[in-house]
Amino acid sequence: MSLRSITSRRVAIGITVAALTFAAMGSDFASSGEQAPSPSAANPNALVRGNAPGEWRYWGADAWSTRYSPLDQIDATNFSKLTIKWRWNASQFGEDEYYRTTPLYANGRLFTVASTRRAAAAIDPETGQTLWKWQMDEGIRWQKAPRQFAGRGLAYWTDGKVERVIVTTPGYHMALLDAKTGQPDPKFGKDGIVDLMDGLGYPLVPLAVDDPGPLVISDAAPARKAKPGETWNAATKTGADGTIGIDPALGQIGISCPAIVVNDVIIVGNSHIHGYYPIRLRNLPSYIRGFDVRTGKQLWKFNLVPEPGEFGADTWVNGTKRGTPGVGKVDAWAPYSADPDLGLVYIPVGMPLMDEYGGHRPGDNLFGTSLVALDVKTGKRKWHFQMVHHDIWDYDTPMSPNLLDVTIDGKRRKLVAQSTKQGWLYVFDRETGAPIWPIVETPVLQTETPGEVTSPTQPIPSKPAPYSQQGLVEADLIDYTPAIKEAALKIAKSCRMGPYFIPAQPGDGTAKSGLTCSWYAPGASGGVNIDSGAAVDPDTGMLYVGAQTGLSTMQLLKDPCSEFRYSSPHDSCGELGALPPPAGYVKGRGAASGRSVVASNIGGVSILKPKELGGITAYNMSTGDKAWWIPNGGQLVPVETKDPLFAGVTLPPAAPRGQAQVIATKTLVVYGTGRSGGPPGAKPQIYAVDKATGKQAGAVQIPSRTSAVPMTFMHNGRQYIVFATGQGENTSLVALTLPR
Amino acid sequence: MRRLIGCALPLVFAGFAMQEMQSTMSGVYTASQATRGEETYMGICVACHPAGTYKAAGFRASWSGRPLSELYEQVKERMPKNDPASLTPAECAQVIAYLLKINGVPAGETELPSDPAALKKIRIEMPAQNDRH
Repeated sequence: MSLRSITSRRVAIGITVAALTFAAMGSDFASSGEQAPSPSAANPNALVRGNAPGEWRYWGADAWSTRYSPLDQIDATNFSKLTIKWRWNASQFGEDEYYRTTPLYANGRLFTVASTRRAAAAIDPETGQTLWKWQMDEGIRWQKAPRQFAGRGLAYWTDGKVERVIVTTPGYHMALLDAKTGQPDPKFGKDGIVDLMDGLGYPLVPLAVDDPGPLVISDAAPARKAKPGETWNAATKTGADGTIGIDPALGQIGISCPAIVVNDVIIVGNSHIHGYYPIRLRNLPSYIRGFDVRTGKQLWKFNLVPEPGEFGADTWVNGTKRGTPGVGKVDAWAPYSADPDLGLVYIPVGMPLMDEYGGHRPGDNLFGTSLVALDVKTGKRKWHFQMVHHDIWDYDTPMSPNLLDVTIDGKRRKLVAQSTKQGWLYVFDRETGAPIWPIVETPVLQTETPGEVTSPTQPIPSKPAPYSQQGLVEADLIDYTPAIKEAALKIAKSCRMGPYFIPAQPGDGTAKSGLTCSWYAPGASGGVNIDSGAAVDPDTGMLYVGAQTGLSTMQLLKDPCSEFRYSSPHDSCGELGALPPPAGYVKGRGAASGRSVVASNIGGVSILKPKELGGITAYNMSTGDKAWWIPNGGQLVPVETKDPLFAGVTLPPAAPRGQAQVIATKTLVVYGTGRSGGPPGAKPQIYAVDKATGKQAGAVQIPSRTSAVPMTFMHNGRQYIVFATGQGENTSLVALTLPR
Repeated sequence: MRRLIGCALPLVFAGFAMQEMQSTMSGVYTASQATRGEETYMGICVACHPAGTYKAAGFRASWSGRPLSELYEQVKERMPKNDPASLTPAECAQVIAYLLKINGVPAGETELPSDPAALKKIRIEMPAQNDRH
């Protein structure tokens, strides 16, 4: 079978599934299919920040990613009366990792993705019935996808006549579906689908696999280029299945976030392998591209790793020629935001290859860990700001930035505020990129790891104050008694301390100081990470950020079967795709498996003094000042210990763990605790707080904790709150409404 | 390779004091405990360890034949990366139950204990990997 026909077959499968579902849905679908676009859909001028009021057309509610809805039917007086209207079983389409999707609502329909296959579906908002389903068979492209889960969601577009839903798949395809039927639009790409591996400048080759499993631990067990004449062995599930793609020897690429549509241009990036424990020193760089929403034609491409001669290439000391050791990743894997009036899209960019060691990529590594503003028409860079130079802390920019307009010192300002893993908000004039409050290049600790060259300075925001613990200094330590202080200080001094950006220590005894670990705060999970981020209130100029805080340690060692000189301790030996073990290697022995970890608690009591960090922090963005703070789940947790060191000491309560998932409405901040958050033992709940004070206004018990940012919309006169929950074979969307 | 499918062949390591050790293949955790463990794993662990990590050859090679107490101590003392030693003993046991489940180890009637001394008497054995496909 030729490659062309295989590709067609794959598209045909997608159409067939949609068509079958169409038939199965019968009258439900027919009535939905006849529905005329709402007045707001018919008149794009009625849109506010790209969204019809009362709808939720973007991942972050609107193009500005405000996560704000002007609805007020659900308020402080009735929030606690919310009941479950329906529960949509996402597992009917297959299992997932944890369900990290925020659905969209547009013109009377709810749209979502589900399962590791990232099936797209439309749902009747009133009944929770499936209206249509679309799914693509991506063969090896799916099997070895670096992000094999449902992902964050979809994009929606209408010109007032036709309505489209845009799906980006785990195997790195993009489909344009009719929002009414789920059928791919034949005018878009090839039979409704654009192969996102095409158009990047790499030839597409036949793919094969040697094992039936997924990609494991970054780039272990990848696919490979098929041998001439190689065929599929259905019994072993190995060989060449007819799929084509970029040669896996060059690296892996995929996607987990929705595209964003701005002024009829689809802007789409990519996701990548995990940055921890990679085996290969080289991988694919990342890109942002613009596509015509009607035809799927690629309009432009912006290189997130500048190619030789491009602006920023000189921030890679060894150059950026494809295949250069240390070059790869820099993926913008979070959702994006845009200002349709300015014609700018704001891209939060992730970090370069290898999370904690950058010795193979000396330089600042643009556009790693940056916020980049691109012109949506041309893809040209309008401005950028690198928040972490030469990132060796896994500080990928994890969340769409929030846009808002506020008055500062009597002047109306257009802002973009980026919440980050670093525990800081970076706030800019979104037209020019100029910081609103000074962000000061500040000397920072330098590395003691052989081969590493750290940046002499990092940009530190002077305002707003951080929302997560920053590094570890003596003043942070508990000092309830002299003995407690001494014990905490002893632990603290066992790893490298500092105010922020403490480089990871080598654990092999090569550091001059003799220290074999570093304090790490915020850690790899932030701060803000995939699950949390901020909502803003366009009326008041308040920003509400859900985050976590904590303290951990980092250490670097040599993975004996990886090409990297150092990594976070790991042993890749034995994994398909790993290097052969060195002479004398014994599994389970040696440095990589013998690391020391320093716990940041004494008998269960954190060595950190409790502070108002993590949880939800509200900032007044006109002043940059903190307005209020609450713990995730609304209450602090008693701290108990049997350690005699604390005998007779009354310990202050601590904040619960997790990342609060925040949205704002006309009168409330609504949040879920996130999949691991809230007070231990508390029943899963969704909460509402007063926007001005943070005081709890209501709480409702839910079947299980929220696993993604909730959303809200008005349908047939009723306001709904919908959120994703669950994992594995137990994933669902839950819809809450007020009883009638 | 096909021959092995359907044959649950434990990986047995020579030199163990077999008579004193219980095998993980003898129903050492419950299904509901593993379900709770999946929630904990997907709530916390998955941030650094994608779901496939602990079905991979490297994990199985590293841990097969060792006492369960070593895996428990690893989880209890070193995890999660963001806040080591912050999981409760019950959460650690749940997560290990989940890891056993996804590697094809059968559930039983008794919950996996969170007592390291008891776990020291349980040897990690997993069905041959091909059974899972």
